[in-house]
This record gives sequence, C-alpha cells and structure tokens, in this order.
Amino acid sequence: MEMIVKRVTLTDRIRMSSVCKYWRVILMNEEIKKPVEIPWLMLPQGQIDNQVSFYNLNDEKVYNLKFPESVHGWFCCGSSKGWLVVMTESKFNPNLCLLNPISGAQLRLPCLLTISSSEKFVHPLSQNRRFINKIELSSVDLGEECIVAMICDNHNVLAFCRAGDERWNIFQSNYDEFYVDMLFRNNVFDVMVFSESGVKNCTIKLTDCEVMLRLITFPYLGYVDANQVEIVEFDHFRLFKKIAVRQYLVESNSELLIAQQIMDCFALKDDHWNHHADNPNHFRYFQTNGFEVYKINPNDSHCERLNNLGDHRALFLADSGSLSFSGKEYNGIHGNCIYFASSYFSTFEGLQKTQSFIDRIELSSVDAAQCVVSVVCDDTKVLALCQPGDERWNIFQGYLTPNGVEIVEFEHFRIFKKTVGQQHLVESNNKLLTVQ
Amino acid sequence: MATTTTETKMLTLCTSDKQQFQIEETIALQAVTIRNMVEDECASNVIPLPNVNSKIMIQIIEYLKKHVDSSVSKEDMEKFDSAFVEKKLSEIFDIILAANYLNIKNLLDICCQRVADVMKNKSPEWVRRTFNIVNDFTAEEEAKIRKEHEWAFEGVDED
Repeated sequence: MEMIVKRVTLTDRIRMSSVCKYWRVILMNEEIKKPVEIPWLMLPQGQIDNQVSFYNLNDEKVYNLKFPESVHGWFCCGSSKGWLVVMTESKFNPNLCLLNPISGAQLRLPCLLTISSSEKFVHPLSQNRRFINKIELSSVDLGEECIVAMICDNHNVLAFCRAGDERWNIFQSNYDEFYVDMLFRNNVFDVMVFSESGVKNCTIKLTDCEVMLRLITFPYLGYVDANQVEIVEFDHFRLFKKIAVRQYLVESNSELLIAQQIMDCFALKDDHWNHHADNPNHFRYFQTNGFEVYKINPNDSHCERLNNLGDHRALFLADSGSLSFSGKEYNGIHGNCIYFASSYFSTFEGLQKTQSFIDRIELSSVDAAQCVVSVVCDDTKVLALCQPGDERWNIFQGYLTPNGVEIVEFEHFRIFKKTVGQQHLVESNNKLLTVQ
Repeated sequence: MATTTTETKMLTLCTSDKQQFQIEETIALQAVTIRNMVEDECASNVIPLPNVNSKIMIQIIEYLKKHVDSSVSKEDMEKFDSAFVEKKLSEIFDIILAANYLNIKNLLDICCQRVADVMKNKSPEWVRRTFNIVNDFTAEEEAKIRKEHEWAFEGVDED
C-alpha cells in the first residue's frame, strides 16, 4: 500500500483519505512521502475573498483554498517551500505570517516595523504590499532550525529571523547592495547582488546560530544603458526592444543557474527610457521577448551562457522562488522550456508609485453618448472596454501581442506561448506556489 | 543447478499451483529474488515460488522477456509498459504482490503507478465501488473530513 501511496498526488491523497478509516490512516501518514509535483500557479487574490486560488497544470484544475479565520482579510505577498507569506494591511502593526494553505498551519514572523524602512511602505497603506520582494525558507519544516530570509524595501534590505524571534536581523553590508534574488542550497543562502564583481562569503548572527551567506555578482546584470536601447517607432507608441529586466536564481541538476528575462517595452510616443514614472500619463506595457540562461560558479561568479537546458529540464521561474524539473516525468511539461510567472511590475521602481488599480483611461470620443471607454488596469495586465449604459466591463483578450504569440485563455488568467529560438515560453501574470 | 539446452542456460520455476515454467536464466535473473537464490546456490533444479500462481507467472514472464531484449528502443519499451498495465485492477494487485516478492523493481513501479493513476481525480464513492471497499465512516465523520479540505473534492470526474 505504501508503495502506491507515495505515487498519489496531494489532492488525490486528501480525497482518498475519506474512502475508509484504514485508508485514512495510511494516506494521512506524513512519513510516506508525496511524489514531487510541479508548482501550482497562484491566481490573483481578490480583495475580500478570504481564499486563495491555484491552478494546477498537472490536472488543469483550479483549487480554491479558504483562509483560516485568524488570517481573514490578510493578503498573500509571497511563498516559499509550500508556505504562503501573508500580511495584514494594518497601519500600526503590519503583521506577517507563514501560512500553509492546505493544512492551515501558521507561524507568526516578527513585525515589519522592526525594519525601519518599512514605514515608508506602511504609509500610505496601499504601498505595503510592495514592501516584500522575496522570502526564502531554509527548510519546509518550520522547526527551530528553520531560517527565514527576506529581501525587501526595493531589494535594498536583506533580513533574517528564526521561528519565535521578536525582530528581524538586518544584514549589514559595506556597500549599498541591491539584492536581486536568493536561494538556499547546501546550507548557504546564495544571494545575487548588483555590486562590485566577485563573490563575498559573509555570516550573520541570529539568537543562537550563525547564518552563512554568499553574495554573488552576476556580471551581466544591470539596467540597460538608455543610449543603447533599440527603439522602434510606431504611429502612436514606441517600442524599446530587448531590455534585461529581471534575473532569477535557480538550481538545476545541482548547478546554479541564472535566468535573465529579456523584455520589450511598449511606451507612449514621448516616453524616454530613462524617464521615470512621475508623469501621471505614463504608460508602459512590458512583454517578454526571451530569456538568457547562464551557469554561474558560486565560488568565483564565473558565468557561462547556455544554449539549451537539456532535453528533459524545464525551469519554473517566479518572484516567489524558482525551481527546475525533469520534463519527461510530468504530463504536459516540455523539456528545454521555461515556465514563468511574471510580475515584473512589482519590481519596477517607477510603477510602484502607481497607487490605484487603474493605470490609464482613454476615451474614444469627446461625445459621451458615442464614446468607448478603455481602461488599462491591474498593473497594465488588463484592458477593459465599455460603452455608456453598459452594466459591466468587457475584458479585451489578446491585446498588444505581436504576431507569433499564441494566447491561451483560461477563466481567470491567460498564458502567452511563444517560441524564441529553442525555448518555448509560457507566461502568465501570477505567482507560483511550490507544493510540498 | 540449471538444465542446459544447446548453449542457453535454463531455469525451471515452480508456481504455487505446481505448474513448472522453463525459462532462460538471463530472463529469470531480472527478478532479484531469483538471482539471489541462484547466486547463493540455494536453488536446486527447480525454483519454488510459493507466492506466485501460474496465471500471474505467465504475465510476469511476458514482461521479463520483453525487458531482457536490449534491441527494444526506449520508446517501444514505454509503449509496452503502458499497454502491459492495462489490465483489471484485481490482476494488477496480484502482479504487485508477485513483483514485490520476486523483487522486480520496474514492474512494481509501473503497477503501483497504474493504481495511483486510477484514483486520479476520482470521487471517494467511485473508488469504494471500484476497489470494493466498505465505507466505515459515519455520515458526520465523512462530512467533517470533506469540510476540512472542500477544495480537493470540487470538480472530480463524473462517476
């Protein structure tokens, strides 16, 4: 029986535990490991849903998991190793906790106010969703040994804590570091930084342990020089081509890889790449053009560009954490493919100033009766149209996508599929949850 | 210990219902249990397999014959495996027990996977009928279990 159970997926296992008492004992036995599953895609969280929805690529189903009452009204701002990072929107006490959406288990993390720069995010409130850039756990098990690492404050602060700690311990660096991404592997937090070249081995002391860090510079990292951006002019907008915007650390076959996301940016006619978003009319729409994948040596930061991932490897990239899988073991997962959940806008400094849901409104005519209103909203992910008298917005599907991009529409989100060289790209606009 | 016809070494296996099967040694040795018996020289001319009946043995030999053939491509082998497990569940369970006893890892893997796949996205009611299991939960107990993880019960296959 055990040999069968360890092949049953988590969802099937939960359901089958209601077959009979004997099955329940075996299926709920945590000693019997689950098969490794591909991550679930987290769908955008509604305002007062008190639940979180996931799309499972494997069975192509959406699961709606209810929040326990103690975290009603909280919102999700990340995930690591099967745990969601949830946060209150409280002004005076912005609490943070790790939540297992399946078991309902929770662990309180230190208050964010123990990091001084959190204040500028807490006021105004709508900003505090942006404060946390990434949380990484050292283990699935949140026991005493587990270390929680967090990149926050526009990637400028790296903080650590352990279960039960009262405050965050901030890592002090000699430089103004820009912490891009991090990964816990082989008992070390590997942190990709934007600074002098090379590798720095560091430690930070927590209550009764020392955490090892390795700051690794990615030589090809950086915002593109405005003068070198290729610009294509169109009638009503301009296109900035191939801008390297986001880098992900991921482990594949025991090697450390960096996947660099290359995007095209659609902007208004008068926009310049080095302009920031202080202009209220500012509108930029980013679209993934491709990825560059590098193998990096964590000891000397030497990089080697890879032409392919190998026939059977697939990368899953997300702000919340990235993973690699063997493609042949999973239905519907293709080898040499990158699957990514893109939420680039949350890392873009200019757009962080966008305080409202609506990014841009356009009217087709000055005559209100004839007018078609179009709204770009939800971090420019959605284009909605309406006419006077309409009861609801019509969500326009498949806009701003040049030829060669296949759009797969789902009820709650869309996936962009594109073939660039040897890589097939699948993009959606959401987070990924690693199922543990 | 083994009889020899021409150059090929043969082994005789005797099942629980006293049927004898003569098969090439290279085929039989894929079963780790048989290999250990032969290596330890504790097997006489006839290897008794009291936990396997002849009906299951025939199927296991079919499987072993295919898998000993190194000329079969990986793809064809996968095709063979997926066709092989398309059997009634009761037969699969018998093969699992036999493969476990004989210690044939890949056969055990594919059969266990088949059982796991059968349960995929199925309702507990369907599984009870298919596996012939009596529900020993009270209605309240069952409702409570379902309530804990309502999401996992949504959108299962129609029975």
